Amino acid sequence: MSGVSGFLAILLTSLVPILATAMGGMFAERARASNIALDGCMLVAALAALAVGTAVGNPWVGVVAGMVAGALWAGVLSAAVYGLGCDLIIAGIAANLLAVGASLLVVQGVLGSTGTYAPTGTTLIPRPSLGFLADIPVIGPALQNQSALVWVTVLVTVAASIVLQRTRFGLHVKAVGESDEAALAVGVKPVQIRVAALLISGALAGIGGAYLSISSVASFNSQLTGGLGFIAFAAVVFGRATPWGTIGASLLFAAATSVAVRLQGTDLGLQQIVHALPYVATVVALAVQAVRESRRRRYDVSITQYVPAIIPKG
Amino acid sequence: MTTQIPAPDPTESSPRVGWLRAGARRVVPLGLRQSVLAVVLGLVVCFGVILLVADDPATAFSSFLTGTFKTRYAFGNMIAIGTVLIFTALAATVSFRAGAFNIGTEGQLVLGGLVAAVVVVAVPGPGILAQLVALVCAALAGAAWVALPAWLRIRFGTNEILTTLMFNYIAADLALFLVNRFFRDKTSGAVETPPLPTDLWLTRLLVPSPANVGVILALLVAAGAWLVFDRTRTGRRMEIAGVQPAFAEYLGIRSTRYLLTSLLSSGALAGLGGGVAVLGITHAYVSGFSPQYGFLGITVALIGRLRPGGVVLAAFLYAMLMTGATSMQSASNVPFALVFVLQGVLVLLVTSQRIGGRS
Repeated sequence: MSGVSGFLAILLTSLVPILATAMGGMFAERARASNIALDGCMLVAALAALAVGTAVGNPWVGVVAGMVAGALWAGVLSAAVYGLGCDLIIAGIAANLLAVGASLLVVQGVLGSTGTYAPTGTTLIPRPSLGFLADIPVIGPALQNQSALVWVTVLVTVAASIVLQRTRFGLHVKAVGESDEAALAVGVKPVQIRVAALLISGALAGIGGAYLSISSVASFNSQLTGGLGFIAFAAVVFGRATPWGTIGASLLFAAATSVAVRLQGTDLGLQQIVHALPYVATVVALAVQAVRESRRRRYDVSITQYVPAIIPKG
Repeated sequence: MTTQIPAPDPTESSPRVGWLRAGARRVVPLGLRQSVLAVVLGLVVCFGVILLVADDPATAFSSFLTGTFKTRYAFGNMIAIGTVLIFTALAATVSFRAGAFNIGTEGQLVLGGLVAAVVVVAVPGPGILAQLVALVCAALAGAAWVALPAWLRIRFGTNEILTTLMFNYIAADLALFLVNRFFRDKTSGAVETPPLPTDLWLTRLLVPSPANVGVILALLVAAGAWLVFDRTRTGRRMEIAGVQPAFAEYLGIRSTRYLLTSLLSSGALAGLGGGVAVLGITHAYVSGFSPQYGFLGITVALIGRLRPGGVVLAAFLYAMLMTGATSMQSASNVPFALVFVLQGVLVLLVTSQRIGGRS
């Protein structure tokens, strides 16, 4: 495999967990229900996918279980926000902490392993061969034998973009994000839409989580996500929660991750520093975004926008 | 009872990423009742989990609650953990009160710990002087680590929640790199610095337990925080700048200056906590020495209602549960991880606006 296609292959591998999760986060963000618990959703989903996938013997059942678990975790978040009346961001942070605790508890207390849960006999996600298409120069070898979840993620991305931009539900999500009053006035229930958006974000984060635990290696520990959920969230922010923007930002962060992966193989003695590259890239992206925003705002004529202090109960 | 006031930003122009404009977010815990209720409900949840997991729920739950008081060592351990929690919880408190979310206390603590371990052996002279210098350097390291996110927040309105969080991961990688490259104990298989000589340890209180004089320092710092918050103009201004930056500016208070001060002191407190943990408990920088002290500090700060007195009580309460969880882990099959579940549940319960009623 040549250098470029090798890099492309790694890029696709690191893209899946970020992109799938970010597409979900985009829905929540557009409904003004920022899901900062994406990381927790991924973690819980990774464990559920591995445990269920191993028990049933079919990795696709595992992926579905992961999506359900991710959605459930987002459900916990929405229950806390719209049921208990917690602050969205604080509740999201709490949901992340809770996910770490719960997954550790399940791994140690229920599954009976210490630290890392690596069951034997897990079937991994298949890696389809492309046949004659693999002969296409550069792209072909990169796409050859990629996890089937890569293709699922591509489908999910297209579907999510269409749903957001071209359907009634997508319109409702955006309407709720713009103004609760306007949405209420035409009979759209803000809380209902927000919960739906959060559940979607959890389910899509579930795909990203499942990819981490049952695609290339079948093991789980509480540091599995390594902040990928937050990176995905940052991709949503950097992409301004639009489909193309989110895809672009995800590609950027995935590229940073794959550069880190590539450089870690080389003998620079700087492995740990290189490992921090995706996180540094995220901070830089957020800073660039903020600088851009503040530049733009400087030339804005005062546009006031009313942000309701309390979201009316739908 | 807590109240969160999302700040409506008058210059809001992009409707999408609303809260990312990084306006002040305010958490104002008001009632003691809610804290008590949250702790009780949290323990009920724990009991439920124990019922599900444990073979012998009664033993597990009783050792979870009383394990701390069974041995001298466990009690001292509680004091030691509580000491570090006071520092990280005060760090969270300072930033919350000024309307900023410093979620990066974990990273600041780790770097503070590393700096303390390195500096304390480098300083010539008597142990007490070396310790003082090391602790000051640890605090400076913590403050330095939060400086960039703080500057980005103040200058450009970058959301500090995400940046400080990312800085946790960067700090972990940086610490690992520095220890591996320069400070590693060659004789040890683990990633750690060489063990400190005994005269550089913070004086121990309940030998052989890890309790140390750091607890006195922690109580002094808490008292100082109380003075600053409740008895000085600085504290009052910091709070006004946190609740309503626009109003503060109208009063002639430079809100950004107070925001910067509070974020830097928040980082310094977290770094100091790391220094005390390393000099007092582990006696060497050990990779992964912190069982999430930084994040636990957020929980403790919220239970302590963002007041120094409450924080001290909540820190020892949580330390008691953590020590209890250790003894529960050895007495039954319920893992230590229960305290991390409890942590998340407590944050949700204590910030809920539907529990605890009006105060």
